[in-house]
Order: sequence, then C-alpha cells, then structure tokens
Amino acid sequence: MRWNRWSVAGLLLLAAPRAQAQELFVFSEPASNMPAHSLGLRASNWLMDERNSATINYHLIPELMWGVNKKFMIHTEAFLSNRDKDFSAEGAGLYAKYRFYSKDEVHRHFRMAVFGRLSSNNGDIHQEEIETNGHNTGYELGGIATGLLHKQAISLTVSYERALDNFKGHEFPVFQADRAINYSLSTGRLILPKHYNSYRQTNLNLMVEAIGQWHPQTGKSFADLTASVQLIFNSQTRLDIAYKKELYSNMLRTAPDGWLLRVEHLLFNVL
Amino acid sequence: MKKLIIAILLCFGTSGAFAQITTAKLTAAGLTCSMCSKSIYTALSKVKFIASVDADVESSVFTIHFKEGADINPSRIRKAVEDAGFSVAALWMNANIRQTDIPAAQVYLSQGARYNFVPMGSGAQVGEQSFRIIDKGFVTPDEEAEMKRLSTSVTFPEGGYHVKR
Repeated sequence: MRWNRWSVAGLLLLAAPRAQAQELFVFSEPASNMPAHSLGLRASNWLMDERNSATINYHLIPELMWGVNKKFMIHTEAFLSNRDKDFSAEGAGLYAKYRFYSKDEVHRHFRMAVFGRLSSNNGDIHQEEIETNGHNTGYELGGIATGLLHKQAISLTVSYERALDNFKGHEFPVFQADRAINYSLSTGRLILPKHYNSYRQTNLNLMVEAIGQWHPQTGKSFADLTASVQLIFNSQTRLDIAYKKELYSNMLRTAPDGWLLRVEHLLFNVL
Repeated sequence: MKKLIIAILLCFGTSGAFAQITTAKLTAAGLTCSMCSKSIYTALSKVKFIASVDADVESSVFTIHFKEGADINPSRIRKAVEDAGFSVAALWMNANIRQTDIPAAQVYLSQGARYNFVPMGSGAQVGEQSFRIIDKGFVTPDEEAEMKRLSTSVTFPEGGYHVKR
C-alpha cells in the first residue's frame, strides 16, 4: 500500500473519535508542562534499521527533566550511539519549553507553548535529514498548540531547525540545506482503564503521529507516520513502544524506519 | 463587666480549639490522565495545613481534609494545583459556622481568612454550610467572565475571599 497524505489524515481521524484525554505524545511534546518542582527521568532507545545494510542503528538518549515552575520546564539530554564506531557518547542537548497560554475547563483545555533546543554532536553527517535531537549540532525553535476537546487531545507542533557543523571536524556539507521547517500532528486515545478508580491502574494508550520536514532552500521534504503503544504504571512510570515508518521522502535519509522504546519515571514534588 | 471579660476570654479560648472549616471539595480543570491527577494529589498532600486528600480520578474531584487548628490559605491550595500544571474549576469549603465567627452581616472569619458572602447569594448563617470561592483562579474561565460582567452592577465587598452558597 502506498501511503499518501489522505491515508495519514484518515488514520489520524480514526484514532480521534471518542479518544480519552491523552497528550503524552511519544514523537512530540504537548504544550502542557510537567508539574513544577518535579523531576523526570527518561531513556529513549532508538533502534533504527540502517538502509542498504543489515546494521541496526542504536541511539540512546537519556534525559533529565525539570519542572522549574508551572510555565517553564527544562530537559538536559545526552546523545549516545553506535553509528560511527562502537557505542559512544556523541553530544548533549538542552531543551526548554514555556507555556504561555492556557485555558482550562473541566473536560477540555487549550494550551500553547514555545520551545527551543540547543544541541551538540560530534558524529559524522551522513544524511540530508536534519535532526538536532541526536544527530546534528544546531538549534531548533518552535511553537506547540494542544487542544483537548471532550476528552480528545490533538497537538500541532511547528518548528524551525538549523544545523551547524558537527564537532570533531565533521563539517556540515556545503551543498546540503542546513535549514528545515518541521511539523507534527499528534493524537492519542486511552484504551484502558475504561473507568478510573485508583492511581494504581495501568493505563494503555494508543497514539498516532504524523511528522515531517521541509527544506525551504532545496524544496526537499519527507513525511513519516508513527504508531505507539503507551503503558503508564502507578500513574508515575511510562513505557512507550513505538514504530516509525517513512511515508514519503525525496531526501537522503540513512535510517528513517525503526523502533523507539522509551521509559520515563516522574518524581513528583521532589524539589 | 467581669462577665463580659469572661465571655471574651471564652471566645478567644475556643476559637481555633476546633476547626470550623474541616474539609473542602476541589474540582480541577484541564486534566488529561491519571498521571496528571496524581501530580495534583501529590502537590495538595504537601501543603502544610492539609492533613490528607482523597482523589476521585475519574471526575477530577479532590476531597481535602484540613489539619485541626491550622490556618487555611485557599490561595496556597490554588497555587498547588497550578504548579501541578492545572487549574481550579471549583473550591467548596465545608464549614461549621458559629455566631462568633460572623462579626458583620455577610462576613465569616475562620482559620486566618476572611470570607465575604457576595450580595447575590444568601449570607453567612450559623451551622453546617458549604460555600464556594468565586474569585479569579477559583472558577472556570466562563464563570470568571460572568463574574466580571456581574461586578459592573453589583458592588463586591473588599478584602478577603468572595464566596457564595
């Protein structure tokens, strides 16, 4: 089956009706923040299928997340991978998100936030796709709007991303676009429990997200579709099992398809 | 005169000896999951004048039990909910109001706070009563707009919290 934009729209709509309020997206961040004075520990394991070889690209991104206050949160990240050589550290990143608009009603909300990411990386630059989250040195600035309507959450993210030279002499290729516009459209749905009666109940969420990138300098673009299963234990520990598949691309990408396994644990009110 | 002094002393002696506001019912807004509910629950549980919290995850309603004899600061409750990332949609205080706590019509003093009953509802009365705080940050955005509209025709008393039965 060949994917096109209509099948993406169809899948997003399929996931939407009667969706419970779920916005803890896997491939994007919601406009909501984590609780203030709390810490989050997150480990993202990317297992990507390297094209034209039998190798699995493994990226590990551990993150420490801090809810500074009700509007502002910070993530610090480390980037490790086996891409160029043996498994080793390749860089670090700083992500910050500021929620500037919030309208809450009992069963709905609309929130908007701006975010920025600053990353370093010393890996080899081997693809046209720009990804400051673990591949490129550079920065990203963007906005997020998340709406919750009658227990259905949908989120839109748009960002500008700029790649710079990677460290250790891995310069950004001169003839390659170094600027990108990214977008993502995410929706999720609570499958279990049917009714909440305690914080100990395990939650099961399904999410569908469409993510894409466009290079204004060259007109090249790609679009991916992702599907995720999310389990939340004890209302505190989250496990995401997600698969990402390229729908369309006219740029060079070395490993666009693969799995993301993520574990996240929140420490409420520890600071 | 002696009787009056004794009466005044008795008043002072008894105020705070048992809490007039014992519990509150809070409805939170903007929640999306049990993880969110738990962050509110944890934040409320850490507030120093709160003894315990019962959460109804499904309806986002939290029953708050206050520590006996402690001063109650409703703004601190609101801050805990907002720091957790959400908003207060409703806060109902459950009180056992005594005549001595009503220094003037429509005014109720308890546990370090002043509650002004607004003109459009019935006022403070002795006995078991529930009243709702209707100030900004304690109501939904729609209700807040309604309050703003009302405040152009009705004069709200100044100071303290504005409440309605």
